[in-house]
Amino acid sequence: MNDWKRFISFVGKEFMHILRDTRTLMVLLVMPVLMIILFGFALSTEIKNVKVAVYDPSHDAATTRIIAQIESGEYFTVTSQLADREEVLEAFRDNSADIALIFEENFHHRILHDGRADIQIVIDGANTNVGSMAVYYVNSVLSGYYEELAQELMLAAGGDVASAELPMTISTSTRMLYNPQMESAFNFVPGVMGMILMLVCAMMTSVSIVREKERGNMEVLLVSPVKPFLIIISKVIPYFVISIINLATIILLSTLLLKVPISGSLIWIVVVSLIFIMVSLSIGMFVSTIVSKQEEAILISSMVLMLPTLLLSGMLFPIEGMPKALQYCSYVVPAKWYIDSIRVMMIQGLGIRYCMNCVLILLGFLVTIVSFSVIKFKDRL
Amino acid sequence: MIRFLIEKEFKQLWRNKLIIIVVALLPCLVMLVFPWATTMEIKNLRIAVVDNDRSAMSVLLTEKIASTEYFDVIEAGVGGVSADALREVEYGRADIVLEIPAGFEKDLTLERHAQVQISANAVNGTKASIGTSYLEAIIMDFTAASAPIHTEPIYLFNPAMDYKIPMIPALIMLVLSIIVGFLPAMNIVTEKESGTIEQINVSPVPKMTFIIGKLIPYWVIGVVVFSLAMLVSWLIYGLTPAGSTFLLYGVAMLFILGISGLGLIISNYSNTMQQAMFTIFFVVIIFILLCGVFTPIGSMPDWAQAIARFNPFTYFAQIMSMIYLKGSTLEDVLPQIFSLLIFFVFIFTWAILSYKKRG
Repeated sequence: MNDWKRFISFVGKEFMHILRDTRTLMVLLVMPVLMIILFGFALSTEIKNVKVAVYDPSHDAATTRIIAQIESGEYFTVTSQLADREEVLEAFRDNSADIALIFEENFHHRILHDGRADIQIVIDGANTNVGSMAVYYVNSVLSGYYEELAQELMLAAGGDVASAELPMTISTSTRMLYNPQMESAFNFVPGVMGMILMLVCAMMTSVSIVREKERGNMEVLLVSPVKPFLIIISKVIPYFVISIINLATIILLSTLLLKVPISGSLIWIVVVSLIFIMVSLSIGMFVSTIVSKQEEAILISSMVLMLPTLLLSGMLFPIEGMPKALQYCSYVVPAKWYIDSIRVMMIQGLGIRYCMNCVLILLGFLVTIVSFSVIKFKDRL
Repeated sequence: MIRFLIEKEFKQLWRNKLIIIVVALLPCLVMLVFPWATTMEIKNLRIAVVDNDRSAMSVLLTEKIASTEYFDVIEAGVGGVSADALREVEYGRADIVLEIPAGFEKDLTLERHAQVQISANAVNGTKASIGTSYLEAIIMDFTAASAPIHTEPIYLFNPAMDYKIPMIPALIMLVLSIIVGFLPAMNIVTEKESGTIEQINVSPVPKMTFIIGKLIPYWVIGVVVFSLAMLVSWLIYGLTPAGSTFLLYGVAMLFILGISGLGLIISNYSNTMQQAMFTIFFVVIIFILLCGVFTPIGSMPDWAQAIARFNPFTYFAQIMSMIYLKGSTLEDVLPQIFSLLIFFVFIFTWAILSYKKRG
């Protein structure tokens, strides 16, 4: 019974530590809000305002029409008219253009008389964002132009042109299932949840436990009658609480602000998140058992945990596109499984049984890491 | 006096074996692994084709899709309802469904126009938009031969459109900023926690000398990290700067000084390592996300573009990709260098002012 009381007072002490450091607390609580705002409103993989340089030597009805149509959307902005096709390189080198459209000479004339004219789409290969999207966009503008052209051809031939000579077009209507407006926020919310929880739990816990060691307080704590493992647990509890606040913030903001429909069962989302929080806390505990200085804890948790969580969890870059070896590496990133299961439940709106494997793997992580840290912890005493 | 201060800093750094390991290993590791991870190219997407036309043309289109390395057709030729195909998506067995309507060939040859329906599993939005853009491009290409205007894409600086290439300068920046941001942020606060800062405070060392003495070791570390990262990208990816390496180093040094100065400022304002770490983390992550490497600045809303304009990472990322990949000259990157210079002067002054000799 006394043990229980002591444990409570230990937890109280940890809460005091955290409440005293208002700045860290603020960062911890504001970080998820900021992330949601950034990912929800600022970061979008959609391509807009691509800077286009145009080389148009013929300057005729067809080219002016095509350029006007290309510019009418929000995707492309014509920033410069080149006087010479050699200027393309220069425009790319001083970043004044992302792509360049090079029209053939006598463009309109060639369409009408030869039935074929060429446009070169020169793309700045140093820019990851533009790429094939630009080619597709130009082509879709062109196929819109063909309809105008067809009428023009028809008029030119006195309204008597065989339809077989018109270009064939296939239009596509595209449906994005589960995310009809293709909001990038939907895509990022699970990722932000994974990252924030990992950050708060693993980094904060490891650093705060190691600080006690570094300052020599650990000795004092260990000679107290509370069981050593409970001391560690008491250090973990405040971060557990902060994580739950963060989780609630993220879920609330994403539903209210970003209008992400939580289409699955909220209870299961919370349950899986709690499992992930515990996995992250146990990683923090584990890190704290293997290092003895705060600096080491920071370096290990930021570099060994944060970088893979950011890059290998499928949050920013699709795992399917990575080489097999990296795909296997991503299997040991707990955030990957968490993000996968949250996507299935939150966005696809499917039940827990569709992501049972992810949940089981997370539980596996939890058991393994906790047992490792228990073993490690006993070694040190 | 500054010589002794720098000597002291180097001794302290050298004693900390973990820092040495991080400085030596992290750039190599990041450059070795992450260019492969930051790819936006997806191969072998599973596509279910619902062919309601079963004509020569629809079969040809299906074959064309299957022949690319991007798609594996898992269910070609299933006629009738697309509900089955959508169930495949639900169970995660298909990523994309293409529905070719009945009368596709007839419409295309007689009306010269046909329509198809694409449905993509957008739970993973990136994957869905990449997949549909591949598919739309293939379909567009299917009729390209009959089009009067022929387009020919040319990829400058990166002819094979290899996703790793543009990411390399970005990742060099990332690893550089993590190391020269985090280490200085932990530096002064460590001295505060261990109490050694008191000794510096009572010494006659001027503030500016103190800050310069702290900056120079990170400047050296930064140059080492930068060189290692460049070396690995040359050895593994065969990529060397297209522009002047000398210029690249010059700009990198300016950036390193600015970011480590930022780290020192944070360290000056922090009392515990936790505080310092979280503040630098907070700042660095915002800078990295808003620098235009991961998502284009052009598609950000105005307020985010405004932040990006005050973000040193934006300019350094631009300079890196300009000099490294496009061979831009000093003249081309002058506006960016100017911005970095202003950033450095601002940070340096702030770093000196924020160092208070009274605890």
